[in-house]
Amino acid sequence: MGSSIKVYIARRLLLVIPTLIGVTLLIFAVTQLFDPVQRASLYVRDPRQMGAVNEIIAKYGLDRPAYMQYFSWLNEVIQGNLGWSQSLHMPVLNALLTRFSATAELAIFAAPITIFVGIYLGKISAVKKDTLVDHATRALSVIGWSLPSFWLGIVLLAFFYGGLGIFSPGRLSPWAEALVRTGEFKVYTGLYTVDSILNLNGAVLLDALSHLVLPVITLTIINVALIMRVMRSSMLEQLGKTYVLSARARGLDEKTVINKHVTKNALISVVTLSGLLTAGMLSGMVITETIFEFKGIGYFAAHAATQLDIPAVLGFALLTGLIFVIANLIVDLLYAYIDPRIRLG
Amino acid sequence: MNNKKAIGKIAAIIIVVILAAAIGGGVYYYQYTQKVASIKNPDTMIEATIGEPETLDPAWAYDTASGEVIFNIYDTLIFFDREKVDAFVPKIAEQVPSVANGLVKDNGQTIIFPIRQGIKTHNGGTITPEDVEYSFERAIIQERDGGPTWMLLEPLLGVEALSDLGDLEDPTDAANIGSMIDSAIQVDGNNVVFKLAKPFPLTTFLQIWSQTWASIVDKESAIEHGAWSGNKDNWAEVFATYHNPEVPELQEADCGSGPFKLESWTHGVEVALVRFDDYWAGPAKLKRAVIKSVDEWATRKLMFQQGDADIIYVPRQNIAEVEGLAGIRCVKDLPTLQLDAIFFTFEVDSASPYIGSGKLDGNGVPTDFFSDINLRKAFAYSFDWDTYLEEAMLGEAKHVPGPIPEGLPFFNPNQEMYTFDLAKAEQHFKAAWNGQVWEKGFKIQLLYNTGNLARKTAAEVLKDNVESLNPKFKVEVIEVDWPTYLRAMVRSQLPLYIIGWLADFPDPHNFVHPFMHSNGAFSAWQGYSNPHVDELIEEGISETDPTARKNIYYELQRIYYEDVPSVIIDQPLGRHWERDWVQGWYYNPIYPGQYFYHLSKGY
Amino acid sequence: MMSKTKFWSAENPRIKELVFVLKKMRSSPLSIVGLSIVVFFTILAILAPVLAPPQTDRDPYIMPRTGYSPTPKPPSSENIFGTTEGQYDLYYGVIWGARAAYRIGLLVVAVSAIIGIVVGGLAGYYKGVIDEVLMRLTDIILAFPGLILAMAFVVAFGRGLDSITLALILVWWPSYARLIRGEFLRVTAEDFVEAAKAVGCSDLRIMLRHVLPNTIFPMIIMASLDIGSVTLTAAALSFLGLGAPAGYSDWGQIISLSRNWITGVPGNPFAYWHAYIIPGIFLFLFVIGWNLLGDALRDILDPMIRRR
Repeated sequence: MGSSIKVYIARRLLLVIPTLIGVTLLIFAVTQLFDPVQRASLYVRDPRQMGAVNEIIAKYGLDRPAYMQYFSWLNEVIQGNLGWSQSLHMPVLNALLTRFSATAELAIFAAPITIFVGIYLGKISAVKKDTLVDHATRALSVIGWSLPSFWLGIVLLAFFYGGLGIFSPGRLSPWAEALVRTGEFKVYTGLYTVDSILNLNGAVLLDALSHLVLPVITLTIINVALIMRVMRSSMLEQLGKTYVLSARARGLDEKTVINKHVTKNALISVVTLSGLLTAGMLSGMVITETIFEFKGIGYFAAHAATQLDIPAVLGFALLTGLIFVIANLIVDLLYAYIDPRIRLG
Repeated sequence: MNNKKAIGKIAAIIIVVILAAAIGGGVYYYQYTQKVASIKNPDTMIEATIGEPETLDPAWAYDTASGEVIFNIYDTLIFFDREKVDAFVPKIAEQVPSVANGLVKDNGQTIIFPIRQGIKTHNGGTITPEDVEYSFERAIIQERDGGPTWMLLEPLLGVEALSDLGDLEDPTDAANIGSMIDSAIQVDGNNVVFKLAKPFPLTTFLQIWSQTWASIVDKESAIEHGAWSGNKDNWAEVFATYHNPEVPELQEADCGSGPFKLESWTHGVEVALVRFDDYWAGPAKLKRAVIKSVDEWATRKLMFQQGDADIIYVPRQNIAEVEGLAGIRCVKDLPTLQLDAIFFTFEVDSASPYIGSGKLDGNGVPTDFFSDINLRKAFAYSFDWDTYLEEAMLGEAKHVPGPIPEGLPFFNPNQEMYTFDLAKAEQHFKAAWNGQVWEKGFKIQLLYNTGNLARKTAAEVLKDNVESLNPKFKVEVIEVDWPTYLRAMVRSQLPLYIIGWLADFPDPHNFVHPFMHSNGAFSAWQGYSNPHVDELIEEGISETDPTARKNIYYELQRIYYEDVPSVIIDQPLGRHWERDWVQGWYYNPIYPGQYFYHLSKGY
Repeated sequence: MMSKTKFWSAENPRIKELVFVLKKMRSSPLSIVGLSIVVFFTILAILAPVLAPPQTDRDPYIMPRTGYSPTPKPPSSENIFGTTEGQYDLYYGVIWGARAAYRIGLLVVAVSAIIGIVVGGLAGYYKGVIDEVLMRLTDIILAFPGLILAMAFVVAFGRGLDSITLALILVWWPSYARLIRGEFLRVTAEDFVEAAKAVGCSDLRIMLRHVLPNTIFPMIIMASLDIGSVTLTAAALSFLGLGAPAGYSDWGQIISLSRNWITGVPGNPFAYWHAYIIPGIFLFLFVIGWNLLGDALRDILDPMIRRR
């Protein structure tokens, strides 16, 4: 990699910091909507503990002025301590690290599959514009997009798991979970598919994959339209350009024209969207995670937010902010790679 | 040409999809009526429920999810005798103390527990009397805000909080309090001796000592996790370091001797327990027990159906979906130790947003609205128990007079109680505030906490009936989240609200206090204060003679009916759902969850 | 200088455009389907009080109920679409749900678009520092977890569609801002804008009369697609317990009420089909309708594709 690219990357990564500070400040601003008693409800979960409310407020400093709370939090973060999550009953950093693997595993399969299927459908839809193929593809993908995700998830689960007895919820079957717990199966990354390869354990690999089928299908059905329609309009835009005409005039066969030139150029617009989609998936998908028992950071962020667990929410925002910035960076780098005319910086 | 090929491809795909769906549909229906052939996971019991533990530290834990794990990995001195709530078996102790065997002396104020020898702990140690002494002292020292330690403090030191005894930061006070704690719990040879501050009913004491906050912790192991060393030289320093921490030392630790060991705790997902083979009473039948947090009902139900969960929690409204499922067993009509009630606030905070105009002008209610007993009675007579119990609770709840649930000692089955009587309700409404209520009407807001369908329905039943009496009566039912609900309760902003109470320990004192004592969990915030009632309650918990106690609690139930500070709307009946291969289950209403020691899988 | 042609004459370029759009739509079956669905729901929403008369002195969005039992009852003569959990009348719910969907959809999209136009317009027109600052702000909002905001608002302001409408607006506007900014950047580079500046038109006039009308099409496309998305997002929030309160006529909320019944009873997995299929169909058709319409508009209005 050239040094200018390194500099560019370093500059972009540094930009993470103001973005994260911005997001966390915003969250802190939002938390000012709550008064100390409401914040104490995180610790006081039952009426029998009501008498302790004032002590709890004092103990956790819930009534300190906002700027003080923010700065003491920031101070801790700089030292590497993201605080304690009361709603998850563990340190925030640990919670994020351990739970991120579930979301990551789901996203690593769902995002590429959605993107590739979307690109493929977009391509054939554009090439065969206004034919039955085009209409059918568009109709199907829009149908997928219009379905409520929780509805689709539960229906698929009821059909495959409830009806056919295959594809159970959770990340692993109980026998595989027992292997993990006893330490016979070593966890390296937290992603069971990757770890089973590292452990040379084919049975666990199959088990992990089978548990990914339903959630990935759900996510793909719902999100494929997003990629498909951008690919389609992007392809159509390219197909209208003069270079296509001249390539055809020169006698190049249709397949080469399409595959070598048009598709590659059309991909540029898709790249941004794919980046956003992947970043979005990595930031957690609450509903899918809840229904399929794939509890990752999406589930935990929602869980923390409903209980007003501020340190957990802030930690989560840091993580997703980071994901977002890195995704944007990768997208921009890919732009430059695909189209050398685009210059960075 | 291309189009035809494409159409052909699409047609082929469609045909395949239809075939697959047809086959799938067929299998689907077939599966629905079939039993799962063999026992899944034969040596592991899997429970799927909602919620998850807050902590594993016995001194900290006050919620049932934590309690469920703790009472499987820790032992207590004594324990409930299977189904009974008032009979005990010895565990860490060799005998259950009683007056008869001489282990209870001085009018119940000295209680001696001889400690069993040779009980092994999960970490390779043994339980000694010093461990027992340490467990209780550590719990009292920790005394976290909103924790269960007050139940140990009441009998031992006669107070509800250490701060009632002095200032923990002051060295003299600290030393004083420290020595009080020290003398209340002493080791004498092979015994541990508890000295109570004042007379306390023995059964109640034993009940408290059978629960998770009285778990026996292995001292060496606890110290390794950063807990108090047991050093009593400088009490002020001890309190400064270990009192009311932000995070308990034994949060994720297993320092127990119980029938199961902690294998792993994946927060928010599951707790996995594994059998402790050296358990003093013999190893459990199950090799493993897993408690999974599965919040989504549809997922939980499907797991149950497929045999991937052996015991599940079924919310009342979903009972119809599992009844009749092949291969399962349901035990119903289980009496719970829970009461739900409508509470009236006698003096509402004037800044409350839930009282409308704050005046008796038809657009609100004055802050002391419910201080008029006629209104409380009017609302009580307006609640349609039959409809509520039948439709909302599906017939699985009881109408009891309160505030003592049925199944506890000194429950009076013949106590008069309020019934649905719109004529009487009208009468009382007309008498309220010298007829002004009937004339001007009122507007009031009734809040319920998100996520509780039964309470929502109760609110709506009450609203419909009250509004039916007079078009000027307006009751607005509003759903709020817990943070807002708590704030409204703590600030006494709710003119009336519906909430429930689950027993800490199965004794009437644990109900009359929160419902009727001027410092009670509910009554304090309501502003209900009756000095005679306070006297009776304090007498009741200091009285060791059962007959005398009975009279006191009967009197309290009568006063509850007359004063009507709140109205009990139901005592729910529970159900237990398990796969039919689960063996050994029995019901004890005070258990925080499943006790896996006696369970096994087989036919 | 605009010619003084009458507005409604066939010469007016704007009318020509409209006619072209409608003609193009006629030739695409999917567009017709989309348009008809949208028209159907619009009529449904407008006629709601006629088709399902509200009860007196209650919030008309609250569904009437015929009992308290939690088990949904199938369609009958009393409730033509049956009842959902808590015995709320489904027929009433799905009809008024159309109104609720429009209310939240139109509100979120319209307000987001306006904010987006202001922010994106200023950034794209003035460029430079203003652009940097506004885009950083937009970035921050985009990186902000919207779900968290929605939850915070629901707890702070109370449960109801108003809280989540506000939250959705606050997280939705950045995509409009980005779009408009890109469009403004493109258009302001054109000659006629330079000309207008040279002539001495004020910035505001240029932005409103010259730039904005030329950037409108992508926004219309985005808006029509977004109406469906907003409705779906609101439904997802209801699933998470954040949306309208139980008993409110909101399709997402009604489906959320039915989520516990999707697996049916032993022996009859479809026992409660009406509780989730009926509101599901309404939601689904509404979203599809707007999506098809948006897709059709894109095909027609996108200058890069349309003249083929």
